[in-house]
Amino acid sequence: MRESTLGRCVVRAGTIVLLASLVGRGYAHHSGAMYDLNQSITLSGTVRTFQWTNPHCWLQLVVAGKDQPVEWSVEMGSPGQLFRLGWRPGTVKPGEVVSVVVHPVRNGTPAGKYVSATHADGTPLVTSATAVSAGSAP
Amino acid sequence: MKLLPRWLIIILVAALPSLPLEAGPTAATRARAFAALPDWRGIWQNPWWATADASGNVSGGFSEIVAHTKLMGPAPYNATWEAKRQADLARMNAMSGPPPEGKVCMTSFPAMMEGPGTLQLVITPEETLILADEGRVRHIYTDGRPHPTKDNLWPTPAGDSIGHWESKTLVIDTIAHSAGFAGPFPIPGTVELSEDAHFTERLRQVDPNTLEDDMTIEDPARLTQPWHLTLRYIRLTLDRMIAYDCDENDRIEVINGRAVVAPATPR
Repeated sequence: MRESTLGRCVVRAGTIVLLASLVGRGYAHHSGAMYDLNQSITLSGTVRTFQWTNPHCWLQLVVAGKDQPVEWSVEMGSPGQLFRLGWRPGTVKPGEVVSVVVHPVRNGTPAGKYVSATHADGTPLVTSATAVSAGSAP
Repeated sequence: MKLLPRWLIIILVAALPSLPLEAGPTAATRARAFAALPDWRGIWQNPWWATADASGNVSGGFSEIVAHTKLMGPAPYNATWEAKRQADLARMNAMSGPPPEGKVCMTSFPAMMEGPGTLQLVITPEETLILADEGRVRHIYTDGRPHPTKDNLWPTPAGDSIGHWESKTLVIDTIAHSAGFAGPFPIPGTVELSEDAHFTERLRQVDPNTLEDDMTIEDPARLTQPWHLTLRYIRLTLDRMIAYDCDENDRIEVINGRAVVAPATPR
């Protein structure tokens, strides 16, 4: 369910768009051109599953549709990237109600690139207190 | 010459099998060599990539990545390769319509030294291993061996590396690297090296949580002079290497130059 457009990114120069389109872990695995970075939408729904997998984690979210529920695929970073930010395989559980902001794909299918997420009460799914910082000895 | 008493000879012979072999002088020498080597335990990463957020994006976006990735260039190309680079850039800028999309996965040397992945270094007196989270491994032999002879050498993605220690600095010499893009992204207009490229690296710790790799690339077929780069790595507070895998659940399909998301399958 598209609830709102939250923001627009600065339009990049043509060459940079081309470069960005040719590569993609986030950027390192595949192109980012499939996503409309100028558009942000908020999805409110129920988690069907959280795929803690390489090369990308995916949040499968069932949201209300015009006629019937629609399952959205929300692409995130790799497990290594998410782990350091405080995410764990059990951070999001099936049946949980969450709101997720995404950049939707351009072709209109129910998929998008993760921007942010909150619990139903508005608190973030992951707080910085659980994140692993960089730059200090183990 | 007076012989040892028979009873003493019997005792000594009987005791021989139980003598610990590792207590010999070779083991002691090796232990001293190991103790003199630096301790670079931990997980290391290019500082720019360490800023990645939960979407996988890094601070500043892709244009910033390109700007900060030294192996992408520019390099001191000779006239022939500079002309090719300019032609590639002109061709890209002249393209109309949405640009083609593609996927990139494992990176080879030298790209793995400045890519998005994390690295671990395993140091022994005879060899240092640089392990990438995606599975690529560099074997840097420090046992004094030379590179293999020409008949026993062929280009590989990691090349052939030998090294030695100058105090706490690991000096690495790499040859026989497969020709191709130097940086982590195969973008036309960025640096491409030949299989005759020769890499010299000086890897050292510059502060408790930073390693620095001074890399010099010589490639007479393409470069007019040695190309010097300094790559840096910060130590992450991870207690383990978290593996990266391109194929486990790759849901991005590229069809006719357009990327699409495949539906989730039961896992």
